[in-house]
Amino acid sequence: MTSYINLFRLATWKLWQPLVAVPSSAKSVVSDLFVWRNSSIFKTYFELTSIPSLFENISPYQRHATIFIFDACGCKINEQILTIEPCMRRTLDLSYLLPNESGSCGTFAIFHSHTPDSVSTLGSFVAERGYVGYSYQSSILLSYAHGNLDAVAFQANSPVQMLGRSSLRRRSYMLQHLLTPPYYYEIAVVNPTNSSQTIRFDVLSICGRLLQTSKVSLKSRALHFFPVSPEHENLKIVLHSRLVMARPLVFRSHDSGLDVFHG
Amino acid sequence: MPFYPILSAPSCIGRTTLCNFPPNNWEKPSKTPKFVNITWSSGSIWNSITLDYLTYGIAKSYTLADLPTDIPQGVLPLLSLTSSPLPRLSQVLPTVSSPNQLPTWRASLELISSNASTSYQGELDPLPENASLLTFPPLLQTHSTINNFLLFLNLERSPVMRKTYLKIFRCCYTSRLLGEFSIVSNSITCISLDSLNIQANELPVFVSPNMSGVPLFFATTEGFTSMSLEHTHPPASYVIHGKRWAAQKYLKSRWISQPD
Repeated sequence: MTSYINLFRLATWKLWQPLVAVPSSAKSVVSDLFVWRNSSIFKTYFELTSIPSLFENISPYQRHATIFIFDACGCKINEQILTIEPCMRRTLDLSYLLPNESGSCGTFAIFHSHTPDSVSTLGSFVAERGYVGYSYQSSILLSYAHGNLDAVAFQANSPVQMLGRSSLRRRSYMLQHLLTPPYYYEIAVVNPTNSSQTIRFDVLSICGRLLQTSKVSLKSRALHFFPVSPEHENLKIVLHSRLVMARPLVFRSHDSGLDVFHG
Repeated sequence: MPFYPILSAPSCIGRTTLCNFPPNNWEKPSKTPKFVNITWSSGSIWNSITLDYLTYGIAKSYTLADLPTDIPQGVLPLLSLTSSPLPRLSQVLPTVSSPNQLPTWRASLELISSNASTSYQGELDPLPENASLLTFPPLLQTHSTINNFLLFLNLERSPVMRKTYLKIFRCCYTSRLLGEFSIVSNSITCISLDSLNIQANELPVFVSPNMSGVPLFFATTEGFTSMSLEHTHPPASYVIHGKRWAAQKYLKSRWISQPD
Protein backbone atom coordinates (compact mmCIF):
# COMPACT_ATOMS: atom_id res chain seq x y z
CA MET A 1 0.00 0.00 0.00
CA THR A 2 2.84 2.38 0.96
CA SER A 3 4.55 1.81 -2.38
CA TYR A 4 1.31 2.70 -4.22
CA ILE A 5 1.08 5.92 -2.23
CA ASN A 6 4.69 6.72 -3.08
CA LEU A 7 4.06 6.00 -6.76
CA PHE A 8 1.03 8.29 -6.75
CA ARG A 9 2.99 10.98 -4.92
CA LEU A 10 5.82 10.80 -7.48
CA ALA A 11 3.34 10.80 -10.36
CA THR A 12 2.00 14.17 -9.23
CA TRP A 13 5.52 15.53 -9.63
CA LYS A 14 6.55 13.75 -12.81
CA LEU A 15 3.64 12.97 -15.14
CA TRP A 16 3.23 15.41 -18.05
CA GLN A 17 5.94 17.62 -16.55
CA PRO A 18 9.04 17.08 -18.66
CA LEU A 19 12.07 19.23 -17.95
CA VAL A 20 12.24 20.08 -21.65
CA ALA A 21 9.48 19.56 -24.22
CA VAL A 22 10.14 18.09 -27.66
CA PRO A 23 10.23 20.78 -30.39
CA SER A 24 7.13 20.73 -32.57
CA SER A 25 9.10 20.61 -35.81
CA ALA A 26 11.70 17.98 -36.68
CA LYS A 27 13.69 20.73 -38.40
CA SER A 28 14.05 22.84 -35.28
CA VAL A 29 17.33 23.67 -33.64
CA VAL A 30 17.55 24.30 -29.91
CA SER A 31 19.36 26.73 -27.64
CA ASP A 32 19.78 27.46 -23.98
CA LEU A 33 18.40 30.76 -22.73
CA PHE A 34 21.67 32.47 -21.78
CA VAL A 35 22.12 35.55 -19.58
CA TRP A 36 23.82 38.71 -20.85
CA ARG A 37 25.02 41.64 -18.79
CA ASN A 38 26.32 44.90 -20.20
CA SER A 39 27.36 47.79 -17.95
CA SER A 40 30.39 49.68 -16.78
CA ILE A 41 31.16 46.67 -14.56
CA PHE A 42 30.07 43.65 -16.61
CA LYS A 43 30.66 42.56 -20.20
CA THR A 44 29.43 39.34 -21.79
CA TYR A 45 31.08 37.09 -24.38
CA PHE A 46 29.82 33.92 -26.06
CA GLU A 47 32.10 31.21 -27.43
CA LEU A 48 30.51 30.29 -30.74
CA THR A 49 31.54 27.09 -32.51
CA SER A 50 29.81 25.39 -35.41
CA ILE A 51 28.24 22.31 -33.84
CA PRO A 52 26.92 20.93 -37.18
CA SER A 53 30.48 20.94 -38.57
CA LEU A 54 31.57 18.58 -35.81
CA PHE A 55 29.09 15.99 -37.12
CA GLU A 56 29.54 16.39 -40.88
CA ASN A 57 31.19 18.46 -43.59
CA ILE A 58 28.96 21.46 -44.09
CA SER A 59 28.37 23.58 -47.18
CA PRO A 60 29.26 27.30 -47.37
CA TYR A 61 25.53 28.04 -47.04
CA GLN A 62 25.46 26.37 -43.64
CA ARG A 63 28.30 28.36 -42.09
CA HIS A 64 26.15 30.54 -39.92
CA ALA A 65 24.16 30.73 -36.73
CA THR A 66 21.41 33.13 -35.65
CA ILE A 67 21.39 35.02 -32.39
CA PHE A 68 18.16 36.22 -30.77
CA ILE A 69 18.64 38.81 -28.04
CA PHE A 70 15.91 39.59 -25.52
CA ASP A 71 15.75 42.38 -22.95
CA ALA A 72 15.19 41.78 -19.23
CA CYS A 73 11.42 41.57 -19.85
CA GLY A 74 11.79 38.91 -22.54
CA CYS A 75 11.07 41.15 -25.54
CA LYS A 76 13.19 40.52 -28.62
CA ILE A 77 15.53 43.44 -29.26
CA ASN A 78 17.78 41.99 -31.95
CA GLU A 79 18.07 39.09 -34.35
CA GLN A 80 21.25 38.71 -36.33
CA ILE A 81 22.92 36.12 -38.55
CA LEU A 82 26.51 35.37 -37.57
CA THR A 83 29.06 33.66 -39.77
CA ILE A 84 31.10 30.84 -38.27
CA GLU A 85 33.76 28.80 -40.03
CA PRO A 86 33.64 25.01 -39.59
CA CYS A 87 35.61 23.65 -36.64
CA MET A 88 36.71 27.11 -35.55
CA ARG A 89 35.97 29.33 -32.57
CA ARG A 90 34.48 32.80 -32.68
CA THR A 91 34.23 34.83 -29.50
CA LEU A 92 31.18 37.10 -29.68
CA ASP A 93 31.31 40.36 -27.77
CA LEU A 94 27.63 40.86 -26.93
CA SER A 95 28.11 44.60 -26.43
CA TYR A 96 28.49 44.94 -30.23
CA LEU A 97 25.20 43.13 -30.84
CA LEU A 98 23.04 45.10 -28.40
CA PRO A 99 20.97 48.00 -29.74
CA ASN A 100 21.16 51.33 -27.94
CA GLU A 101 19.16 51.50 -24.72
CA SER A 102 18.95 47.73 -24.33
CA GLY A 103 19.35 48.01 -20.60
CA SER A 104 22.00 46.34 -18.49
CA CYS A 105 20.88 42.72 -18.72
CA GLY A 106 18.70 40.26 -20.59
CA THR A 107 18.73 36.85 -22.22
CA PHE A 108 19.83 35.46 -25.57
CA ALA A 109 19.69 32.28 -27.62
CA ILE A 110 21.97 30.93 -30.37
CA PHE A 111 20.51 28.75 -33.12
CA HIS A 112 22.71 26.78 -35.48
CA SER A 113 22.00 26.58 -39.20
CA HIS A 114 20.53 23.07 -39.12
CA THR A 115 20.47 19.71 -37.43
CA PRO A 116 22.75 17.32 -39.37
CA ASP A 117 21.18 14.20 -40.87
CA SER A 118 23.31 11.99 -38.63
CA VAL A 119 21.58 13.62 -35.65
CA SER A 120 18.02 13.95 -36.97
CA THR A 121 17.90 10.27 -37.94
CA LEU A 122 18.35 9.51 -34.23
CA GLY A 123 15.30 11.62 -33.38
CA SER A 124 17.58 14.27 -31.87
CA PHE A 125 18.07 18.01 -32.36
CA VAL A 126 21.24 20.08 -32.32
CA ALA A 127 21.34 22.07 -29.08
CA GLU A 128 23.56 25.00 -28.15
CA ARG A 129 24.46 24.72 -24.47
CA GLY A 130 27.74 26.54 -24.84
CA TYR A 131 29.93 28.74 -22.80
CA VAL A 132 29.31 32.34 -21.73
CA GLY A 133 32.22 34.39 -20.43
CA TYR A 134 31.69 37.36 -18.12
CA SER A 135 34.29 40.05 -17.50
CA TYR A 136 34.12 42.05 -14.29
CA GLN A 137 35.47 45.54 -13.75
CA SER A 138 38.89 45.85 -15.40
CA SER A 139 39.91 42.19 -15.18
CA ILE A 140 41.27 40.68 -18.40
CA LEU A 141 40.09 37.23 -17.28
CA LEU A 142 36.68 35.88 -18.24
CA SER A 143 34.68 33.84 -15.76
CA TYR A 144 32.89 31.10 -17.73
CA ALA A 145 29.60 29.34 -17.13
CA HIS A 146 28.17 26.65 -19.38
CA GLY A 147 24.56 26.45 -20.54
CA ASN A 148 22.37 24.21 -18.47
CA LEU A 149 18.87 24.09 -19.93
CA ASP A 150 17.69 23.48 -23.49
CA ALA A 151 15.04 26.17 -23.36
CA VAL A 152 14.20 27.50 -26.81
CA ALA A 153 13.55 25.91 -30.21
CA PHE A 154 13.63 27.70 -33.54
CA GLN A 155 12.80 26.91 -37.13
CA ALA A 156 13.34 29.41 -39.92
CA ASN A 157 10.32 31.65 -40.64
CA SER A 158 8.55 30.57 -37.44
CA PRO A 159 8.36 32.15 -34.00
CA VAL A 160 10.59 30.70 -31.31
CA GLN A 161 9.10 27.92 -29.21
CA MET A 162 9.76 27.84 -25.46
CA LEU A 163 10.54 24.30 -24.31
CA GLY A 164 10.43 24.81 -20.55
CA ARG A 165 7.32 23.43 -18.85
CA SER A 166 5.35 24.36 -15.75
CA SER A 167 4.88 21.97 -12.89
CA LEU A 168 1.47 20.93 -11.57
CA ARG A 169 2.69 21.65 -8.04
CA ARG A 170 4.93 24.37 -6.71
CA ARG A 171 8.50 23.19 -6.39
CA SER A 172 11.42 24.31 -4.27
CA TYR A 173 14.96 24.51 -5.58
CA MET A 174 17.52 24.62 -2.79
CA LEU A 175 20.87 25.94 -3.96
CA GLN A 176 23.53 23.59 -2.59
CA HIS A 177 25.96 26.43 -2.06
CA LEU A 178 26.52 28.52 1.04
CA LEU A 179 26.45 32.27 0.53
CA THR A 180 29.33 33.62 2.57
CA PRO A 181 30.63 37.07 3.59
CA PRO A 182 32.27 39.18 2.23
CA TYR A 183 30.99 38.22 -1.22
CA TYR A 184 28.11 39.96 -2.98
CA TYR A 185 25.76 37.55 -4.74
CA GLU A 186 23.36 38.08 -7.60
CA ILE A 187 21.14 35.08 -8.26
CA ALA A 188 19.92 35.13 -11.87
CA VAL A 189 16.71 33.29 -12.80
CA VAL A 190 15.23 33.07 -16.31
CA ASN A 191 11.79 31.93 -17.41
CA PRO A 192 12.12 29.22 -20.08
CA THR A 193 8.36 28.64 -20.37
CA ASN A 194 5.77 30.23 -22.63
CA SER A 195 3.81 31.85 -19.81
CA SER A 196 4.52 34.21 -16.92
CA GLN A 197 5.91 32.54 -13.81
CA THR A 198 5.94 33.72 -10.22
CA ILE A 199 9.12 33.02 -8.32
CA ARG A 200 9.51 33.41 -4.56
CA PHE A 201 13.04 33.83 -3.31
CA ASP A 202 13.83 32.97 0.31
CA VAL A 203 17.06 33.73 2.14
CA LEU A 204 17.61 31.48 5.17
CA SER A 205 20.12 31.30 7.97
CA ILE A 206 22.21 28.16 8.12
CA CYS A 207 19.82 26.72 10.71
CA GLY A 208 16.82 27.39 8.44
CA ARG A 209 15.43 30.63 9.88
CA LEU A 210 13.73 32.76 7.20
CA LEU A 211 15.57 36.09 7.01
CA GLN A 212 14.26 37.65 3.84
CA THR A 213 11.72 36.83 1.16
CA SER A 214 10.83 38.45 -2.13
CA LYS A 215 8.61 37.60 -5.06
CA VAL A 216 8.79 38.42 -8.74
CA SER A 217 6.64 37.69 -11.79
CA LEU A 218 8.73 36.81 -14.82
CA LYS A 219 7.41 36.95 -18.37
CA SER A 220 8.48 34.36 -20.91
CA ARG A 221 12.24 34.63 -21.68
CA ALA A 222 12.64 37.29 -18.97
CA LEU A 223 15.41 37.54 -16.41
CA HIS A 224 15.59 38.69 -12.81
CA PHE A 225 18.48 39.11 -10.38
CA PHE A 226 17.95 38.52 -6.66
CA PRO A 227 20.74 40.31 -4.77
CA VAL A 228 22.09 38.89 -1.51
CA SER A 229 24.84 40.41 0.61
CA PRO A 230 25.73 38.19 3.58
CA GLU A 231 27.18 40.38 6.29
CA HIS A 232 27.73 38.38 9.46
CA GLU A 233 26.76 34.79 8.71
CA ASN A 234 26.57 32.16 6.01
CA LEU A 235 23.23 31.98 4.21
CA LYS A 236 21.17 29.53 2.15
CA ILE A 237 18.67 30.35 -0.57
CA VAL A 238 15.56 28.59 -1.85
CA LEU A 239 13.59 29.35 -5.02
CA HIS A 240 9.88 28.42 -5.02
CA SER A 241 8.04 28.32 -8.34
CA ARG A 242 6.19 26.16 -10.82
CA LEU A 243 9.31 25.87 -12.97
CA VAL A 244 10.31 22.23 -13.26
CA MET A 245 13.91 23.25 -12.70
CA ALA A 246 14.51 26.75 -11.34
CA ARG A 247 18.26 26.28 -11.52
CA PRO A 248 19.82 29.73 -11.11
CA LEU A 249 23.02 31.25 -12.42
CA VAL A 250 25.05 32.63 -9.54
CA PHE A 251 27.30 35.71 -9.77
CA ARG A 252 29.63 35.93 -6.76
CA SER A 253 31.74 39.07 -6.72
CA HIS A 254 34.21 40.81 -4.46
CA ASP A 255 37.03 43.32 -4.82
CA SER A 256 39.22 40.43 -5.93
CA GLY A 257 37.03 39.44 -8.85
CA LEU A 258 34.09 37.46 -10.11
CA ASP A 259 33.01 33.84 -9.89
CA VAL A 260 30.06 32.67 -12.02
CA PHE A 261 28.52 29.22 -11.78
CA HIS A 262 25.26 27.34 -12.19
CA GLY A 263 23.34 26.11 -9.19
CA MET B 1 25.07 10.35 -3.77
CA PRO B 2 28.24 10.66 -5.79
CA PHE B 3 31.72 11.56 -4.61
CA TYR B 4 33.02 15.10 -4.20
CA PRO B 5 36.76 15.58 -4.80
CA ILE B 6 38.92 18.17 -3.12
CA LEU B 7 40.52 19.81 -6.15
CA SER B 8 44.11 20.89 -6.54
CA ALA B 9 45.89 23.24 -8.95
CA PRO B 10 49.16 25.19 -9.03
CA SER B 11 49.47 27.74 -6.19
CA CYS B 12 45.93 26.97 -5.03
CA ILE B 13 44.28 24.94 -2.33
CA GLY B 14 41.06 23.04 -2.89
CA ARG B 15 38.00 23.51 -0.72
CA THR B 16 34.87 21.40 -1.02
CA THR B 17 31.64 22.37 0.71
CA LEU B 18 29.16 19.57 1.36
CA CYS B 19 25.47 20.21 2.00
CA ASN B 20 23.30 17.85 4.00
CA PHE B 21 20.14 19.18 2.46
CA PRO B 22 18.66 18.19 -0.90
CA PRO B 23 18.44 20.36 -4.02
CA ASN B 24 14.68 19.90 -4.32
CA ASN B 25 11.61 19.16 -2.22
CA TRP B 26 10.01 16.40 -4.23
CA GLU B 27 12.37 13.44 -4.40
CA LYS B 28 11.55 12.60 -0.76
CA PRO B 29 14.84 13.36 0.97
CA SER B 30 15.82 11.59 4.16
CA LYS B 31 16.15 14.27 6.84
CA THR B 32 18.77 12.40 8.80
CA PRO B 33 22.32 13.19 9.87
CA LYS B 34 24.96 11.82 7.50
CA PHE B 35 28.49 10.56 7.82
CA VAL B 36 31.17 12.48 5.94
CA ASN B 37 33.68 10.01 4.53
CA ILE B 38 37.04 10.56 2.93
CA THR B 39 38.05 7.91 0.37
CA TRP B 40 41.29 7.52 -1.57
CA SER B 41 43.12 4.93 -3.63
CA SER B 42 46.44 3.57 -2.47
CA GLY B 43 46.95 1.89 -5.85
CA SER B 44 45.70 -1.57 -4.97
CA ILE B 45 42.82 -0.87 -2.59
CA TRP B 46 40.30 1.80 -1.71
CA ASN B 47 40.66 3.34 1.76
CA SER B 48 37.85 5.14 3.56
CA ILE B 49 37.73 6.96 6.89
CA THR B 50 34.80 8.64 8.59
CA LEU B 51 35.77 12.27 8.87
CA ASP B 52 32.75 14.01 10.30
CA TYR B 53 29.04 13.85 10.99
CA LEU B 54 26.69 16.43 9.45
CA THR B 55 23.28 17.10 10.91
CA TYR B 56 20.40 17.71 8.48
CA GLY B 57 20.26 21.20 7.01
CA ILE B 58 23.94 21.94 7.60
CA ALA B 59 26.75 22.60 5.13
CA LYS B 60 30.46 22.43 5.92
CA SER B 61 33.71 23.06 4.06
CA TYR B 62 36.74 20.77 3.93
CA THR B 63 40.31 21.33 2.72
CA LEU B 64 43.36 19.06 2.78
CA ALA B 65 44.24 20.58 6.17
CA ASP B 66 41.06 19.05 7.62
CA LEU B 67 42.02 15.51 6.62
CA PRO B 68 43.83 13.00 8.84
CA THR B 69 47.59 13.22 8.50
CA ASP B 70 47.95 9.55 7.58
CA ILE B 71 46.39 10.14 4.15
CA PRO B 72 49.28 10.04 1.64
CA GLN B 73 50.18 13.22 -0.18
CA GLY B 74 49.30 13.40 -3.86
CA VAL B 75 46.20 11.19 -3.74
CA LEU B 76 42.81 12.41 -4.94
CA PRO B 77 40.71 12.88 -1.76
CA LEU B 78 37.05 12.02 -2.34
CA LEU B 79 34.41 13.19 0.09
CA SER B 80 31.01 11.53 0.33
CA LEU B 81 27.85 11.74 2.44
CA THR B 82 26.32 8.46 3.57
CA SER B 83 23.84 7.19 6.11
CA SER B 84 26.37 4.64 7.44
CA PRO B 85 30.17 4.62 7.45
CA LEU B 86 31.95 3.22 4.40
CA PRO B 87 34.09 0.08 4.80
CA ARG B 88 37.65 0.88 5.89
CA LEU B 89 39.12 -1.10 2.95
CA SER B 90 37.50 -2.28 -0.26
CA GLN B 91 38.63 -3.86 -3.52
CA VAL B 92 36.21 -1.79 -5.56
CA LEU B 93 35.07 1.77 -5.00
CA PRO B 94 32.29 1.73 -2.39
CA THR B 95 28.82 2.35 -3.78
CA VAL B 96 27.33 5.59 -2.59
CA SER B 97 23.67 5.75 -3.50
CA SER B 98 22.00 9.01 -4.46
CA PRO B 99 18.46 9.95 -3.42
CA ASN B 100 18.34 12.69 -6.05
CA GLN B 101 18.33 12.54 -9.82
CA LEU B 102 16.98 15.89 -10.99
CA PRO B 103 19.10 17.76 -10.24
CA THR B 104 22.00 15.70 -8.98
CA TRP B 105 23.06 16.28 -5.39
CA ARG B 106 26.03 18.63 -5.76
CA ALA B 107 28.76 20.27 -3.72
CA SER B 108 30.75 23.47 -4.17
CA LEU B 109 34.16 22.53 -5.58
CA GLU B 110 36.47 25.48 -5.18
CA LEU B 111 40.05 26.54 -5.81
CA ILE B 112 41.47 29.27 -3.60
CA SER B 113 44.62 31.36 -3.98
CA SER B 114 45.83 34.04 -1.59
CA ASN B 115 43.98 36.65 -3.66
CA ALA B 116 41.00 35.01 -5.34
CA SER B 117 38.79 31.97 -5.59
CA THR B 118 36.78 30.18 -8.27
CA SER B 119 34.29 27.35 -8.08
CA TYR B 120 31.66 25.24 -9.74
CA GLN B 121 28.82 23.07 -8.49
CA GLY B 122 29.90 19.52 -9.17
CA GLU B 123 30.11 15.87 -8.33
CA LEU B 124 32.09 12.87 -9.52
CA ASP B 125 30.70 9.46 -10.36
CA PRO B 126 32.90 6.49 -11.25
CA LEU B 127 33.44 6.14 -15.00
CA PRO B 128 33.65 2.89 -16.97
CA GLU B 129 37.23 1.75 -17.58
CA ASN B 130 36.54 1.19 -21.28
CA ALA B 131 35.17 4.71 -21.81
CA SER B 132 36.85 7.40 -23.87
CA LEU B 133 37.07 11.18 -23.77
CA LEU B 134 36.18 13.61 -26.54
CA THR B 135 35.68 17.27 -25.88
CA PHE B 136 35.95 20.55 -27.82
CA PRO B 137 36.83 23.29 -25.34
CA PRO B 138 36.56 26.92 -26.47
CA LEU B 139 37.66 28.05 -23.01
CA LEU B 140 41.34 28.84 -23.45
CA GLN B 141 42.07 32.48 -22.69
CA THR B 142 44.82 33.74 -24.97
CA HIS B 143 45.92 36.96 -23.28
CA SER B 144 49.68 36.83 -22.73
CA THR B 145 49.37 37.29 -18.96
CA ILE B 146 46.80 34.52 -18.46
CA ASN B 147 47.86 30.96 -17.69
CA ASN B 148 45.60 28.08 -18.77
CA PHE B 149 45.52 24.59 -17.32
CA LEU B 150 43.56 21.43 -17.95
CA LEU B 151 42.65 19.68 -14.71
CA PHE B 152 41.71 16.18 -15.85
CA LEU B 153 39.61 14.47 -13.21
CA ASN B 154 39.06 10.72 -13.33
CA LEU B 155 37.44 8.18 -11.03
CA GLU B 156 37.01 4.45 -11.71
CA ARG B 157 35.74 1.57 -9.61
CA SER B 158 39.11 -0.20 -9.63
CA PRO B 159 41.71 1.29 -7.25
CA VAL B 160 44.47 0.71 -9.82
CA MET B 161 46.03 3.97 -10.95
CA ARG B 162 46.54 3.20 -14.60
CA LYS B 163 48.28 5.55 -16.98
CA THR B 164 47.29 6.37 -20.54
CA TYR B 165 47.53 9.36 -22.86
CA LEU B 166 45.49 12.36 -23.89
CA LYS B 167 46.08 13.99 -27.27
CA ILE B 168 45.22 17.56 -28.17
CA PHE B 169 44.55 18.43 -31.80
CA ARG B 170 43.46 21.41 -33.78
CA CYS B 171 39.99 20.77 -35.19
CA CYS B 172 41.13 22.26 -38.50
CA TYR B 173 44.36 22.20 -40.52
CA THR B 174 46.47 19.34 -41.75
CA SER B 175 49.19 19.59 -39.09
CA ARG B 176 46.78 18.94 -36.32
CA LEU B 177 48.52 17.27 -33.37
CA LEU B 178 49.41 19.89 -30.76
CA GLY B 179 50.52 17.69 -27.90
CA GLU B 180 50.32 14.36 -26.12
CA PHE B 181 50.19 14.08 -22.34
CA SER B 182 50.04 11.34 -19.70
CA ILE B 183 46.90 11.07 -17.62
CA VAL B 184 46.31 8.83 -14.61
CA SER B 185 43.11 7.26 -13.36
CA ASN B 186 41.69 8.01 -9.88
CA SER B 187 43.53 11.30 -9.77
CA ILE B 188 43.54 14.88 -10.94
CA THR B 189 46.14 15.47 -13.68
CA CYS B 190 47.23 19.06 -14.26
CA ILE B 191 48.41 19.96 -17.78
CA SER B 192 49.65 23.43 -18.73
CA LEU B 193 48.13 24.46 -22.05
CA ASP B 194 49.99 27.69 -22.77
CA SER B 195 52.91 26.13 -24.65
CA LEU B 196 50.52 24.67 -27.25
CA ASN B 197 50.15 28.10 -28.82
CA ILE B 198 46.44 27.69 -29.54
CA GLN B 199 45.15 30.84 -31.24
CA ALA B 200 42.03 32.73 -30.17
CA ASN B 201 40.05 31.58 -33.22
CA GLU B 202 41.18 27.95 -33.09
CA LEU B 203 39.02 25.22 -31.63
CA PRO B 204 41.04 22.42 -30.05
CA VAL B 205 39.82 18.86 -29.61
CA PHE B 206 40.92 16.78 -26.64
CA VAL B 207 40.91 13.02 -27.17
CA SER B 208 41.68 10.09 -24.92
CA PRO B 209 40.65 6.73 -26.46
CA ASN B 210 41.29 4.74 -23.26
CA MET B 211 40.05 6.89 -20.40
CA SER B 212 37.14 9.18 -19.75
CA GLY B 213 37.08 11.98 -17.24
CA VAL B 214 35.84 15.43 -16.34
CA PRO B 215 37.89 18.07 -18.19
CA LEU B 216 38.14 21.16 -15.99
CA PHE B 217 39.58 24.32 -17.54
CA PHE B 218 41.36 26.51 -15.04
CA ALA B 219 42.64 29.95 -16.03
CA THR B 220 44.42 32.46 -13.87
CA THR B 221 46.07 35.83 -14.20
CA GLU B 222 49.71 36.16 -13.18
CA GLY B 223 49.81 36.46 -9.42
CA PHE B 224 46.53 34.52 -9.17
CA THR B 225 44.55 37.72 -8.65
CA SER B 226 41.67 36.47 -10.83
CA MET B 227 40.77 32.86 -11.60
CA SER B 228 38.21 30.96 -13.68
CA LEU B 229 37.12 27.32 -13.52
CA GLU B 230 34.59 25.53 -15.72
CA HIS B 231 34.15 22.06 -17.17
CA THR B 232 33.20 21.25 -20.73
CA HIS B 233 30.31 19.05 -21.74
CA PRO B 234 30.47 15.50 -23.09
CA PRO B 235 29.54 15.32 -26.79
CA ALA B 236 26.03 14.06 -25.98
CA SER B 237 25.25 17.59 -24.80
CA TYR B 238 25.42 18.84 -28.38
CA VAL B 239 22.04 17.25 -29.00
CA ILE B 240 18.75 16.88 -27.17
CA HIS B 241 16.04 14.20 -27.18
CA GLY B 242 16.15 11.02 -29.26
CA LYS B 243 19.14 8.71 -29.03
CA ARG B 244 21.60 11.19 -27.54
CA TRP B 245 24.14 8.55 -26.60
CA ALA B 246 24.08 7.19 -30.16
CA ALA B 247 24.87 10.70 -31.35
CA GLN B 248 27.79 10.79 -28.92
CA LYS B 249 28.98 7.41 -30.17
CA TYR B 250 28.79 8.67 -33.75
CA LEU B 251 30.78 11.80 -32.90
CA LYS B 252 33.42 9.77 -31.06
CA SER B 253 33.80 7.38 -33.97
CA ARG B 254 34.23 10.37 -36.29
CA TRP B 255 36.90 12.10 -34.20
CA ILE B 256 38.71 9.56 -32.07
CA SER B 257 39.59 7.21 -34.93
CA GLN B 258 41.13 9.94 -37.08
CA PRO B 259 44.87 9.74 -37.75
CA ASP B 260 47.20 12.42 -36.40
